[in-house]
Amino acid sequence: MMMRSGFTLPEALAGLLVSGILMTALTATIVTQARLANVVAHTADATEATWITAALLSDELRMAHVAADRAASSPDSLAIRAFRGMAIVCDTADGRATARWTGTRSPEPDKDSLLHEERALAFSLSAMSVDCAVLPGEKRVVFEADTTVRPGDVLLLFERGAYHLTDRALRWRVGAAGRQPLTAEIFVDAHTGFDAAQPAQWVDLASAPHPWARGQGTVPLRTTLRSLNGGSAP
Amino acid sequence: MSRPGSVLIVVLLGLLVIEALIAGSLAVATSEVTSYGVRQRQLQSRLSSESAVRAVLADWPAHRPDTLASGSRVRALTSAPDSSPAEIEALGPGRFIVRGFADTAAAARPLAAVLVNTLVRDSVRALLGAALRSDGVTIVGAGATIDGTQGAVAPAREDCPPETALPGLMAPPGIEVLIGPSASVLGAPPIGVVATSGSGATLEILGALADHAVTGVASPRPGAANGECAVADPANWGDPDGTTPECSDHLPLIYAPGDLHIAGGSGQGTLLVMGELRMDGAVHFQGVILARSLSLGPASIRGAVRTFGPDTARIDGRVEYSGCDVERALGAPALARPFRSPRWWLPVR
Repeated sequence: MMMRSGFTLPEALAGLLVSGILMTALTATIVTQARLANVVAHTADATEATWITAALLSDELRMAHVAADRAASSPDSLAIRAFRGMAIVCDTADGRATARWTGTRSPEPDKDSLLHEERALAFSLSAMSVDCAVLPGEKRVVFEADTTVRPGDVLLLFERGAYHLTDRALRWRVGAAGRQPLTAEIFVDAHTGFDAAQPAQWVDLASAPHPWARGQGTVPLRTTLRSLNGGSAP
Repeated sequence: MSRPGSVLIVVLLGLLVIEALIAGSLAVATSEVTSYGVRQRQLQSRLSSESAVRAVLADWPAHRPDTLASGSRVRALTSAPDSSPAEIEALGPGRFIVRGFADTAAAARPLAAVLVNTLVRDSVRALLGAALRSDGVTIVGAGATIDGTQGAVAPAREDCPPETALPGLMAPPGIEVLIGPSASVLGAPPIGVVATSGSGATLEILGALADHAVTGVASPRPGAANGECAVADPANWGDPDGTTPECSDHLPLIYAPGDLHIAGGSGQGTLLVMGELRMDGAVHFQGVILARSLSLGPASIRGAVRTFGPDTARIDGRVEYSGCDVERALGAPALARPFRSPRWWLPVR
């Protein structure tokens, strides 16, 4: 009888068994890793959203005057005058004030107002300018405002708006415009919001855990809303 | 014997997938750690900039901001160890911006800034201008002396301005001035006329800057302990008489929100009384007195007195103008303190 090379039935069965075990382990590993990656990504999103919300609210309110700049708050909203920069007037002529500007963005007459000695003023921008030496980070801006300002005056630029903690995200709303989300929709509305004090003294932020992250509860963070300029507590 | 098979390839592929997943997780973790580090550095930069500003404010008179011309800037050196850099910019008389930086680079942007106001001393000088300047009816009692000539003042120190004769008494036009027998009103001219001027803002600032607030009855006297003037004692108004040398340069700013009765004692500096100031007995004061109304018994005042209310000012003692004592009082540390506006911290980011 002639000998033939090849698998015997037991070898084939053993091979199939080993392959099955390896494939099962491999599939389980891939699924677990995929879930883990998903949870990690979700946690990163939650951390980022919490950080952005805490940093943004703290930063916006840090230079505010509690009594003058913060309107009444509700558990899910906080209306404020948000300051976008300041200008130091260096020259005035013909109703125009040339100023050294520094801030988070350029002035926008359509939505910003100027604060001059506690009076809010509408303004427009003019291209005409006189010489005015600026410092690093500053730029020259010419305002046409309905007041007479003097060289050396400090003008603060602000926009009115409200931060909302609704629909699982931090949102910013200017006037009657829609609420623009600033973070991922990841908060638990029931455990997220401003405190009941007037003005609000802190905000609770709670992000939902990933559904696959068994055993994890919400991750709470309480951030104090401190204003360096005072006005009243906090 | 060589046999074909696929187990090794499958295992290697599996390992590749696992490594890719691990690498992905590591990338996320690394990104998070980096992001956290950036956030920490941002927070530290902001806080160190704010600390630099606070360090400048804590040592404000030492930076001599009054010597800065409008529009000029100076780097402010603080005594705080490892303090971040800061600078002072003069915006105009009595207005400054203090900026704090996170690093010393020339192009660095400030991360904190404070708008600082200080008392403009000329606004106080503008309230004076005579030995006694009164807004209401003035009664100079028998034997009293009001002297604007500075002739009786002790020799001026080196830091004193040139001594020139001023009016002894100034009052608004039409306001009655009654001078008793043997009373003496001296000056150039003895009695001048001046319009009433607004003083509310300056007085409000002075009240806010005061070293001590007093009410009721006071009997000031100098006091020292362990060889140092007890400046924290609200009854210690400095030593104009040389009995307690430790307090010869203590020139406090004293604020009385209501009426004040001084029943003897001595002091120097600036005294602001928002009600009636009554001085009885042997009171000796050198410096500036600002009061809504005044009843001066046999007391002696060297410097300048101003009453800013419509009530009667009655003088039965001695008031001598001394520009030197006025300037000493106005040069006191309390009057150089920065005070906060409603928007003390400015939005710079």
